[in-house]
Amino acid sequence: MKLPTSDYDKPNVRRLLAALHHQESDRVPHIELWVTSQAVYEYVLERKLDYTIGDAAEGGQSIAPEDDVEFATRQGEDAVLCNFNWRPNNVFRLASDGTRHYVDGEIKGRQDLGKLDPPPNLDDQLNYLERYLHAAQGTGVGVIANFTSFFDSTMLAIGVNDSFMMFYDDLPFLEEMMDILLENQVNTMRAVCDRFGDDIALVMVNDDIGYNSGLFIKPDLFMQLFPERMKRLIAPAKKHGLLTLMHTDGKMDNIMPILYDVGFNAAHPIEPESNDIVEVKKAWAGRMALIGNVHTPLLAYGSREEIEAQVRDYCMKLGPGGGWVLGSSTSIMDGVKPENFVTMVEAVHKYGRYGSLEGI
Amino acid sequence: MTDILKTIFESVLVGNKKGVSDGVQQAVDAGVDAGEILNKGLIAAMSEVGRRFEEGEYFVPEMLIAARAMSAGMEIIKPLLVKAGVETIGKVAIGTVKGDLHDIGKNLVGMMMEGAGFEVIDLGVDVTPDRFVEAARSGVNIIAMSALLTTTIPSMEATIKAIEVSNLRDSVRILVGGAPVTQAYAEKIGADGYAADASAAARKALEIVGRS
Ligand code: B1M
Repeated sequence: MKLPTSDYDKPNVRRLLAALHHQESDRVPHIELWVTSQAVYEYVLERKLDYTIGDAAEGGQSIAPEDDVEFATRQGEDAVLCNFNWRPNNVFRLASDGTRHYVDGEIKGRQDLGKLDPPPNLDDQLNYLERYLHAAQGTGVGVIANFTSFFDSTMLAIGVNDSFMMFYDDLPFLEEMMDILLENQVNTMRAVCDRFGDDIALVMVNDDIGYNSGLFIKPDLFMQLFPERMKRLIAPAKKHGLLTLMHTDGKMDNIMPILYDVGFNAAHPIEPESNDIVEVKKAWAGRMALIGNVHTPLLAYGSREEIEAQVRDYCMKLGPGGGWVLGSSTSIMDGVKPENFVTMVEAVHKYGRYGSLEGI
Repeated sequence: MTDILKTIFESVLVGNKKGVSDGVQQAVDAGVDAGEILNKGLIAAMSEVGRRFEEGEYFVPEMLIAARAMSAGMEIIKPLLVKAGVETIGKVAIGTVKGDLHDIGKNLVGMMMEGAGFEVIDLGVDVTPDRFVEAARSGVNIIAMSALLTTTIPSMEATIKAIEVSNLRDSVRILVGGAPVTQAYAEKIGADGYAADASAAARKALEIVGRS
């Protein structure tokens, strides 16, 4: 892709922060939380990577920090993610297409706690963040510290199907697992905020709590398990005055008020399958910023014209007043055509222009 | 409904597996017809579970534990149904399509179909067109395909084509669903039916075999 020449094409983390503060800057910002397609990375970087990118969902980092920042710089993406994942005891399998994916968890009950995978070493994680911050210095690219959480990580550690039944079979164990995960992630969050709170752009938590019909579990049970724990997780970030963003899949009408009450400032990706993002923006303008939600089928199968038209329409309807950041719903995975990804990015540079960055 | 059938019905609703197997065993011992236990106890309860799910009263866990309880009851009466020559409504082979490992929705659909009286063969996840063709050849009435990924939906069309090429299209009906699948897409690829959720899928399957 073309290298950025105008300011509109360059990354600027202040543009992202302005939008999250419900302000207009020079243009609508753009971020992608997960790119799991090597082809897209290599297309934008215009070179082959000499390693295979890992899938962030597996707990590792998907691409080297320096390459990630270069990827963002080239396409004017305003921030990148540094992951602080602890997803223990996930079992993976190769699908028939050769890709490796989660299929089950190993922790089937209290008796299995002895074999719980240890969390990643904190110093190693902090050093990795430092590498990200170093690479991003002077580029305009912000670094978002992204944390796995306690709800879906518990379900994945147990096995998603089994964990659903465990809400009835052994709720105390489920809560114990959540607390083990939470405790570690709170400590990690605290360490990140203490050491790098002034350097990172914001904090993100990713935890899938819903699907196309809404919450996975009954709201009264969910309220018993989720809000207080989540408040603990993001407390260090709030204390440091950092903005907080939550990723969850699903229909947001019942989820958004919960996230707002917990103290989140923004939500991703407002999946188009189950949400009308224009309506969600109207309902939450000034209170919750939105990141999303260009549909991945469009990016996989749509034409250049269709993608441009979608981004243009979103810029017109969602851009005014800030509070919206363009992104895909949800990840740039294999199957998304690299040219289409670039079309989406170029379209927001073209149609997302407001005024200027002064005063932010 | 007799007290014992009521107990079975209610035990399924709250996912009480032991309650269901005890109730079914008690009913069998008392000489209640296996077909009646199936229809008025287990199937009726699963239909109520489906209704509650569609209306947002039940969530995924309630569905799964109800289905698990129902299966415990089915285990007991299955041999009796076979012995009595009670035929199932039809046979369904269900699977998540090639490249796709999401199985929660597929499991719920399978369970609701079983709860509606179908014999369900679970082909699992990442099911290739060839395996669906094999299932079609084995004499099932319905091929049910689930897909959750944009990139795996095309496998539904590929499977339908493979079934056509194998000259089996007239012997099976094809039902599709999953979060990114739509009625329009189902029509476009020539499926016989689409359903948005598990209980609608069971209803659609009944409709397809002329039992709605
Ligand atoms: C035959 O007739 C019918 C009729 C009706 C049918 C039917 C068949 N099948 C289903 N239905 C219908 O009835 C069911 C009940 O009412 C419903 O089934 P559902 O399956 O919709 O609903 C279930 C009851 C509960 N819902 C679910 O179980 C899906 C929930 C979400 C959050 C989800 C989950 C849990 C998972 N995931 Co995945 N996951 C998402 C989902 C987000 C979402 N909005 O749905 C989705 C589907 N995932 C996605 C992705 C990208 C991925 N996932 C992946 C992995 C996983 C987990 C393993 C972590 C886990 C699955 C665990 C499991 N055992 O299934 C990866 C793929 C792995 C693979 N090859 O399959 C991976 C590629 C992520 C990665 N980079 O590794 C996205 C797909 C995007 C797209 N449009 O293509 C996604 C929408 C999330 C997102 N926002 O990006 C109806 O659709």
